[in-house]
Amino acid sequence: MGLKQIKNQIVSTKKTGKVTKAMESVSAVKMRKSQERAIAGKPYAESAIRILHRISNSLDGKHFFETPSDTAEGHHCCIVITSDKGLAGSLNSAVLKNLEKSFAGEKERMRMIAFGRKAVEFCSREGYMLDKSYTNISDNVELDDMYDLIDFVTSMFDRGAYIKVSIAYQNFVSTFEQNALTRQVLPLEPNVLEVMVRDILPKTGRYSEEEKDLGEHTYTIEPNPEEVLKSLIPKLVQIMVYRAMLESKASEHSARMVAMKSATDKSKEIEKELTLRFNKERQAVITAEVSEITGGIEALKT
Amino acid sequence: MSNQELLHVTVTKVDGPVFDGDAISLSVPGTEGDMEILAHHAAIITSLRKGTIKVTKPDGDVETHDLKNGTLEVSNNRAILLI
Repeated sequence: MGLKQIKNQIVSTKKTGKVTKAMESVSAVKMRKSQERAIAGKPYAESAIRILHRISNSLDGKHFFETPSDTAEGHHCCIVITSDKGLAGSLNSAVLKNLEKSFAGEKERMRMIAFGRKAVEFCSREGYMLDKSYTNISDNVELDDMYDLIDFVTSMFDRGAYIKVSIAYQNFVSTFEQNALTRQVLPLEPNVLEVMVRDILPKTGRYSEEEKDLGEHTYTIEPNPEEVLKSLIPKLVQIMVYRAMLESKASEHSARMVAMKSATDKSKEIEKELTLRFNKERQAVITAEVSEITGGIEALKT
Repeated sequence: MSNQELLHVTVTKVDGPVFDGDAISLSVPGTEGDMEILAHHAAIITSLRKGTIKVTKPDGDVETHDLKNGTLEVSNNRAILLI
């Protein structure tokens, strides 16, 4: 390779390195914001869980959370949350792989709701039925999109078109650890919900401190537990979906941050190698020139 | 007005609180009729219907929020509204 070519390659590697470096810092900021939003939504989730506890204590039997039998007619709905853009390591493929595993052999019964371009692409590629799709999702989770989605899902569920609604997303554990999850949303399972709320605080890092529990109380429930539960269920579904979206966002940004970090490191490494090669090549050219000159002088002498 | 007893009110949407602070009183549209909550109200859980929440702040200002539906929980002199 000529000197000029190597020089060009060094320049372009440097530029790529700068871009990935910038993307890394942008993702870092966005990740922090997502985490803060996750914490801001915590009182809501906690309070909802507390109310649910009180009510379910005073309701005999949890007949609101009945699971339909497997033979029941209707579709299984799955809300798939991925990112719009790639460059985030194995983030999206992990979600989609987990989804395929969880619903293996049920493809015919599945109806999908795709959130994010990668999910839409996946569904059309793999031949899943798409009922609804959302793309161009902003970095902040938009409540309007979410309300729209929840209205659609709950109305389908109430009509019996869906007998089960799940959600597949990437759970944020820490900056370097995310895992793909599939969780059931409807019929509502209090245990799943509780686990989800407990997971709001990441295991390690800035926000990982525990909060104290509020003491027991005797509540008056008005007008009656059934009514309150009816008004509470949409809220609980909201919490689950919102939470899943936030987790996905936080995971996306941290995965991208890590991916971009290794890209930056790699570009530095390549740059170093190329510079070394450039210097060797240059040395070779100089040596050749010098020997030519001395050769010329020798020729003149004789 | 300065020695008025206060209660802590949190009005929150799923993505975070829209109001969080002390208040003299809180008026909400309950499904069984409108309710006014003052400091040291008995513990209660109730569902809310469409309407407006009014929070009277310690300086006498009234802050209002619209809601479609919601749930109210009061305990320990603390009111939490999920809207």
